[in-house]
Amino acid sequence: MNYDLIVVGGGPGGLMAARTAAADGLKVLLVERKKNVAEIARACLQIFYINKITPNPETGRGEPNMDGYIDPVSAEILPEKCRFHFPVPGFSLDFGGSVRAYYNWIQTSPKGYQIHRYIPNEKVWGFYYQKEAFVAELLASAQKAGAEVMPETAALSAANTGDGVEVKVRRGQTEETLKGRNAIAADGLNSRIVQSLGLNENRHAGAPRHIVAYVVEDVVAPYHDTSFYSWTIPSISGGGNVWMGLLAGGRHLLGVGSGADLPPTTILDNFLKLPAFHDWFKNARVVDKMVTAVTPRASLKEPVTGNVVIVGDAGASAESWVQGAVASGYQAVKAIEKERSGHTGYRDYINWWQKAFAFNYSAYQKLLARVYPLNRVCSDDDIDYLFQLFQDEIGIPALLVTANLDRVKKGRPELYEKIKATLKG
Amino acid sequence: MAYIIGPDCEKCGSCEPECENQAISEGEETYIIDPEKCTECLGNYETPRCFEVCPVGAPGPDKMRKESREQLLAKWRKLHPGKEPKLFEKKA
Repeated sequence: MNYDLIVVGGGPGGLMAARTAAADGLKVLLVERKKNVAEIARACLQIFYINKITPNPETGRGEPNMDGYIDPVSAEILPEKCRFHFPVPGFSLDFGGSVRAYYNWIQTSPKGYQIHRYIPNEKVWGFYYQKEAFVAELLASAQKAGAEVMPETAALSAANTGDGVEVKVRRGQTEETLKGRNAIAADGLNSRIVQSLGLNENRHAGAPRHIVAYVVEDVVAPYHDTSFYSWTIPSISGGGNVWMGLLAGGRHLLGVGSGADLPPTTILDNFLKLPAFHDWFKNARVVDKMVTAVTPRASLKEPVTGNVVIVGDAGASAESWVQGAVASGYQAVKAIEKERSGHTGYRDYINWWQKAFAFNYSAYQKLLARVYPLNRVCSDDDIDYLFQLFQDEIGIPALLVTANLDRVKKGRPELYEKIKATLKG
Repeated sequence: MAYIIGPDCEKCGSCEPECENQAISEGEETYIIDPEKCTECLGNYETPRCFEVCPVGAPGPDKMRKESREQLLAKWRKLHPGKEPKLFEKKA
């Protein structure tokens, strides 16, 4: 059986592609390795960022939300649903599941000094959205539009064959070859499709980061219903920050990412014992756990090869975010249709991809290099000092500090030298 | 010895695409390593990749299956006909 389009991966990107293509009349097959397509098996903060992300490397101010989709998006709250607008690709997406508004991002030191990333309680910078419901709705609309969905089917490789694509999959113990005119690789960070097409050869990969998150009930913290929290506590978490986001039903997701040297569960268990925040968790209960691993890679600069278009995390450096996955799923289908009708669909897609994600900008890469070294060279005491020094500023602590090092030099010259050394090279 | 995924597995699936022998698949309670296909990454990596990637350290050596280095290497050759294994010096 020959398909117009084979979509590999049933996450937000793949499902958006399948739905878009099917609605346009294409014969679509989507393959997903999990048994339950809508199940969220990997730890995810489930945040839909809505502000335009423009990092300001000079002042450290603005909304530098790091590595994802930076085309503008907005959210409209309607009576029974939320409507997400994507003006650049030119579509909107309705969502009937749970959303909770984020007004604050509170960055906290070991003793509890705070630097706000955004002006407190001023405006919404993002929404918690219930990802399981989001994926379930996309799945239903893709199937309603006529896409065929095949769960329990793990894609192994893809090959371009002149005017088509062959995708090798495994169902149980059997291997099968699926044939189509085009394929979309939406199988996430460690995409087997991307690997099999030889696209990882020049993509430098970092060490895997291990992420563990606890689903917690009955946390009571300042502004706990409207805030995202992050804690910089080098003595327990090394180079990573512990974070806490919102979930449906008043719950929170408390998690951390770490390298191989320090198990994330150890960090979280030590965090929950800290006296500075003990009150917040004294009645709290851990009711579930989400985990994942993230192997960061250089992003794919040209996410098209032959008749295969790559979308979402499969081409990203670490995360494209849900809006990036959905936008690229849509754009990929439009690109394929444009290309098939004799226009420069692929080139347009590549040009759009290179501008739409912060991880494709060298300025962003430089910014990233300034953010994390602070955790690695500072002690808990250093962090308390810095957060107290900058507690009336708005922005990302590491960027505020490195852009205003003269203020640190005055009070703590040895700390100044330590931080300055991380900026060399 | 082949590796086996223990009960700490939370089924995030991060291991599955990492296995170059395609030995890993989703089971009921955990992801599962097919012992017929596991060479403990001998032939592919310096150390077992699934263990390195796993955020909770769920994979470990299956003590019930003792296999020598030669047996693992022979298994690798059968899984990758016509290819040469990547071998690493054992660190002191």
